[in-house]
Amino acid sequence: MLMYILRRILQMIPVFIGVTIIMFLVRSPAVVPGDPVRMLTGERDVSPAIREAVTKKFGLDQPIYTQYGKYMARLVQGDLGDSYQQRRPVTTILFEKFPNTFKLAGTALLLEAIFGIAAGILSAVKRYSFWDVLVTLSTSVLVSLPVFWLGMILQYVFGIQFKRWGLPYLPATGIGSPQILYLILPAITLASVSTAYSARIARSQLLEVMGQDYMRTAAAKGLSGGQVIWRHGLKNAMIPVVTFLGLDLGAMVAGTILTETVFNWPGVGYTIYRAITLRDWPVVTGGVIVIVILVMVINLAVDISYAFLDPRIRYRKHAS
Amino acid sequence: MANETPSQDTAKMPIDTGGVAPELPIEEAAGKGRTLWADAWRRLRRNKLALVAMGWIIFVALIAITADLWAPKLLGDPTFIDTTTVAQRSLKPPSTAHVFGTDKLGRDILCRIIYGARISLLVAVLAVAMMVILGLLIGAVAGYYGGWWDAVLMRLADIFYAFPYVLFAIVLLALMGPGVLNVCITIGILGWPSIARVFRASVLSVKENEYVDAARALGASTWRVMFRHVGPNAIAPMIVYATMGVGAAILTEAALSFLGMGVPLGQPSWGGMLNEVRSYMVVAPWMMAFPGLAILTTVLAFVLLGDGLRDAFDVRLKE
Repeated sequence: MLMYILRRILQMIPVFIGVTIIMFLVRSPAVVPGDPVRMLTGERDVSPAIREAVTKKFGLDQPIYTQYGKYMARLVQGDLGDSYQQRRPVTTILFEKFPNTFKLAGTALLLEAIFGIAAGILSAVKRYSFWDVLVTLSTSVLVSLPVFWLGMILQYVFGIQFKRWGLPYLPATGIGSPQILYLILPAITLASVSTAYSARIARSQLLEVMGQDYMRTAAAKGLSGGQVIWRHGLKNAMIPVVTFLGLDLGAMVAGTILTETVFNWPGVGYTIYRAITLRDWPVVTGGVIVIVILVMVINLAVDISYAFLDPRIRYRKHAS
Repeated sequence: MANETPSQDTAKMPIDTGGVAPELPIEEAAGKGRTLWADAWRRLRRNKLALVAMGWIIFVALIAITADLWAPKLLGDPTFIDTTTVAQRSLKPPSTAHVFGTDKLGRDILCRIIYGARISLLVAVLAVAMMVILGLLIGAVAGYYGGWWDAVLMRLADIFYAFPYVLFAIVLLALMGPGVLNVCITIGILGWPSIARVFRASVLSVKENEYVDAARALGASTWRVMFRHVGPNAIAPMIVYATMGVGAAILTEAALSFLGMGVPLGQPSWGGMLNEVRSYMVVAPWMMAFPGLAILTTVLAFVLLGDGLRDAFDVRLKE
């Protein structure tokens, strides 16, 4: 087990280095077309003296591998540089925004778990019924839906039309109090696609388990249909679903950019989007690196707990 | 890791193109020798949903290809702005003159959706072509040469998997600037790992067969082995992946254009049209409804057709 964890952590290192190299090149003036000094000084013309000072200060006169080494040295100490725009450390900015993103992703994950699993169970238990067809079709529609468009439709219906009709309506953008009201529409939007996937996985897993011999045994010894599924079916079928949900938390944290932009939700995704439009590269690269690390750590945690839950995985990984 | 179980995806496929799929009823299987294609087509024809989806895709594609012949006459120019009458024409709700209404600048929305179909389909097909070519090359090298090549290329695939997809696409496009070709390149660069893994698995499972040894003993070159022996085994999963990939690429392009980083706003694209809506959502909801429906129906058609093809070819894909 320890070897397995160790190997997984070792596997993360090349990924981490690859990501940092790419993000370093992204903000490196050596790759981005245009004049690096102008970029650093906010696209203004500068005198030769300032130009030289800027070049020195940012180490632009050094070879690129030296620049990368220095960048990495700062990175591992938790220094992501300062925002060009706000003149504050990127880490401070990200620390302010991450709680909002976690709230959004956490709520979406909860919605996904409840509705995805419920829909999956319903359609597996009542296979080939009207409900099964309905769930199967809705999951196809949900995965084909542009997330940002769904967000806009929700804003229009529940934010604008409900207000016009004099019904209780929901705030359509931003964040305020009580926060839960502001959270509902973005969370539904963010959860939509994942709910469809978790419903599909729950359905196929439960169907597979229902074909097993021990299910027939349970029915043969006189348990009712509901009890068979509840006590024997779900427990076995849910392991992959729970794994998917865990991995999806990482995907959600990374995928909030569209939802947050539509709803002006002050999270990391929206911050990165704004930073891109403002060409504030330290915030962009810092945000992406932190998100990638976060996703890797979440995935590792999920894999390890999966291996704990299901010894078959553990032994198979060892054998290979 | 997924790449340690190579044969999963291909194991259930009919290996020989002249063979008969095992689960066909005896009386059907006993007929004349059929190809993989005829078999797949037989099964696809029974799937009504997939046929409707295919019909819709053909319809949208025909409209997109022939738009220049009839759309300007019927619906006007999709980009031209008549500055003298813009005030009277702007933000009109759907009517007989403008079935889907007009936008802020008085342009017909139906016309823009039709021209948007061109961009969306073009980008999606080019992007998937790029993705498949990259994926096939990398998957072939990794699977065939194995060892060091395999380790490096598959770790590279892991790195690409670890990237948050949309986020990374946005960063790439922010660097390259908006543009049709840049969107294709971005989607292609980010999408190759899944194709590469599937093709690598196909290569690995075929490589061990004796007929490959025989072919090599007869002096066949690596590329000949790849095309003549591995290719036909991998073609069915590739078709399924590509079909679904086109749907996914349309969604990605729409999202990027919506964020203002995909197709430049001067060209009508479905995502770009939704970007323009954001300030007029309250007064002109039709501007929001129709481009979104265009994306949804077209992507849905590719998803359903992909599902149908997967069942027809009997390909096992991982969820």
